[in-house]
Amino acid sequence: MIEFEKFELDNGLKVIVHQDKTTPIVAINIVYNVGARNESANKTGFAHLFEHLMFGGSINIPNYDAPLQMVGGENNAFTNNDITNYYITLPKENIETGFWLESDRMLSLAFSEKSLEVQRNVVIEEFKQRYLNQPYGDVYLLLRPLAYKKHPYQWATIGKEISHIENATMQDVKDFFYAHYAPNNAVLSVVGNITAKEIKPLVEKYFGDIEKRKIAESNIAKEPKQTEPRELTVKRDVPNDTIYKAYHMCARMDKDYHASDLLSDVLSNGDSSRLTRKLIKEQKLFLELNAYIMGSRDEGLFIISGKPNDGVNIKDAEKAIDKEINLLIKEGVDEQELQKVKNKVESSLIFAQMNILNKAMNLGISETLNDANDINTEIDKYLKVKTKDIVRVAKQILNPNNCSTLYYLSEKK
Amino acid sequence: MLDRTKQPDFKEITNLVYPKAEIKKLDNEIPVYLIDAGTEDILKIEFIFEAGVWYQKKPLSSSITNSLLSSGTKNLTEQQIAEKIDFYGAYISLQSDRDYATISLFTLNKYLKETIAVIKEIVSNPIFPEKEFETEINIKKNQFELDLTKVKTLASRKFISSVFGESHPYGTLANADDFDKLKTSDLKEFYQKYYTVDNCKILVAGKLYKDTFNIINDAFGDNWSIKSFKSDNEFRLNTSSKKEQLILKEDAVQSALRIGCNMFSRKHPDYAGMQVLNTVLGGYFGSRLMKNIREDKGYTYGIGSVVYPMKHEGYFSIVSEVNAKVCRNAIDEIYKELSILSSEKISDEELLLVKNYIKGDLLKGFDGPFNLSEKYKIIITNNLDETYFKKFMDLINTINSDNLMKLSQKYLDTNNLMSIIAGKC
Repeated sequence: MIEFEKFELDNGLKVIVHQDKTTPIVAINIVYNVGARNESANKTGFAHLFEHLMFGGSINIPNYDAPLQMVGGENNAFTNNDITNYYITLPKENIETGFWLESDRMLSLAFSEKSLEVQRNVVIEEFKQRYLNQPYGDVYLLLRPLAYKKHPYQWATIGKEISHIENATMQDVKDFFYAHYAPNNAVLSVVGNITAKEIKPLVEKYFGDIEKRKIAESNIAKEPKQTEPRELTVKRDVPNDTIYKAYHMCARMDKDYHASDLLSDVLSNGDSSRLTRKLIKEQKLFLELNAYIMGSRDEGLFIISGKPNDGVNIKDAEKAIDKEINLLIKEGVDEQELQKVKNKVESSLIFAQMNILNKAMNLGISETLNDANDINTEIDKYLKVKTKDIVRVAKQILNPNNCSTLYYLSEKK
Repeated sequence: MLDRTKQPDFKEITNLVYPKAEIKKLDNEIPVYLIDAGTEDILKIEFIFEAGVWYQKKPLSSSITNSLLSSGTKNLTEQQIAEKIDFYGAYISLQSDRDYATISLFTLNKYLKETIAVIKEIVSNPIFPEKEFETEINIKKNQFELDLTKVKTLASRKFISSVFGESHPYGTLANADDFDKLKTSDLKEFYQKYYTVDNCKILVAGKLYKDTFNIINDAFGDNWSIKSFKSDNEFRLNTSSKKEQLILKEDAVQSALRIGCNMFSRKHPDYAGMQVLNTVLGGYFGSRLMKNIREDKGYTYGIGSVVYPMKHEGYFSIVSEVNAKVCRNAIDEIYKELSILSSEKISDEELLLVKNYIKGDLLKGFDGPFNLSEKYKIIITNNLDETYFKKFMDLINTINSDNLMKLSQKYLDTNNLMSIIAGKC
């Protein structure tokens, strides 16, 4: 149980404070409710490029990093399809420097041409390092547009193509900032040996005078129901063939989310899971095989990906996956098997709270999606899932007409 | 009115406060380090054996012995082990490096008795069954071949073998055919020699109860092995004399760089100073290399450097993947930064910033039971004493820019560094 206090400033900034008396460090986390899903189709990769620019100096502070390092702090950020998340850890005594830095870049950026030019290059190198110059690096650049035809999840956070990043102008940057970066579009969470009573005046001091802004309307297209199988085959210079099967599933706040997550665990979480045991260890059809969910805010993807063993035809390997799915739908799962994956989820939720930064992030992201207290009630939602729910969601999700399959083949074979 | 241009007052960190480990011995004399910390009702128990690459006679035998411990024992099949561990919501992590091999158990306190019994089987009764061995070797070999398609793997392999020489256990490399040559008898032999009571240390971190130690003693306190055959091997460095080596990969859009040399272990008197110097150069986000190569030139997504200590030796390395079109410019800029380090004193402001950053980072390194456990592991595996980190802190407080320039001249002389490039240049 994570106890916390929550309050809101007049300008709409939500603040969450959790006290952990065991640590000399505090974590400050700030989630902006903007991600790649808020981008337009001809300016993709922008939320992420913008995250880089947030380190290029703000209106009153030319350098973001140095003052933080000077007080013994560290920071980083990440962007995904739904949110952009910034975080700091620093010694408790120096917490004010964290608020000073975060509030100034919420107020306004320096918008320097030099910073834009450099960060465009850095992001292009990131694109190459993570997506182009790695074996299997472009999988999600191919799989997303296959699975999504209307919804902005059809592009990855890095963007559809490098040219969108190359063409970003200063005006684009400014428009993006004022449309999404605002106190009324953010959640600030603070974790450490501090109380809400201590934190409130500091937050008022630094964030209180930032004006509320008009947030861009999000007109996010709903993805139409997929009615027939889709597939794509590519050949690449990689050592092994690999198969990716992407099935549409419910949104993060849907009542079936927890059953869907447990379904993926039954299939492949841990060495005793079905796919691992039968298809890797017993039948030796795969070298790697995983089932996992994306957990995105809007209707997401349930993915099964695997690397067939040498000499195993990819279509035969696929048939073996289908066979396991059909078996699960036909015969169901037993109580012991369900209890096992529930126990695993329960302990992984505890292990996820092992340091203050994780706690701050989990609180902030939960509040952005719905309610910070969800991190405390999450386990009950998992524990309520019944064996028949697993079969029901398996039937819904793991249906061939709901699946986009990517055959990612080795040129050498 | 708030003056937003002015940084709030701050305090410097001057000392380090962290829970002390209690040291006890099991009935069979295995030392146990107990750290009581954290808010959650969990434990991490790590079994540490001196069973790394340093001790192996045949390539891969150290790492594969370790990763196959859970593939079947006298009393449990691989499947039964996996079922039990999964059912109790526990995790096992098997890790090995150049010096050590470890088995870590992450468990809820309420299931400690059940989960530690499984670990006891894995540690004391593994049988290395043929079928599981073949599956594992096949998976590992494929992963190995995949890694060899990455420029960063190519560069780091060449770097490590050039710095230490392939005949040295820190420089030795496995090749694809070594996977075919390895037999289960090699694993059994390696296991018998090194996974022994007298070669084991146990590190426990998390929420401790009165009976925690007793539960561990009941499981592991008996004489579950024969004596170890450990001998103190000695090896000589055989550093390559080539200044620059290119591993050509025509289709690379980025080139991986490794620039560096061999260095010492944590016990060397200059170790802490080199950590400070390295931080200035490439050890944090605001480092000189990041500022120049990424933030000013945009040649890379990231660049850093490390002073990496192992038990007997260490190395210094600059690490990056850079735009292949500007690879030569990037190397020139890196060497420029190295020369500046040896010829110009670090300014007071930069040095203060770096010292404060390191101290903050150190403080963070003691937050939470898992981090604490990592810090104690450093003490245990290097035979250091409890005061090591406090002394490290004192040294950071006292070192000055003259000391650092001398260290740079002594250890980072550009004539003694080697550059490895994988990709195009």
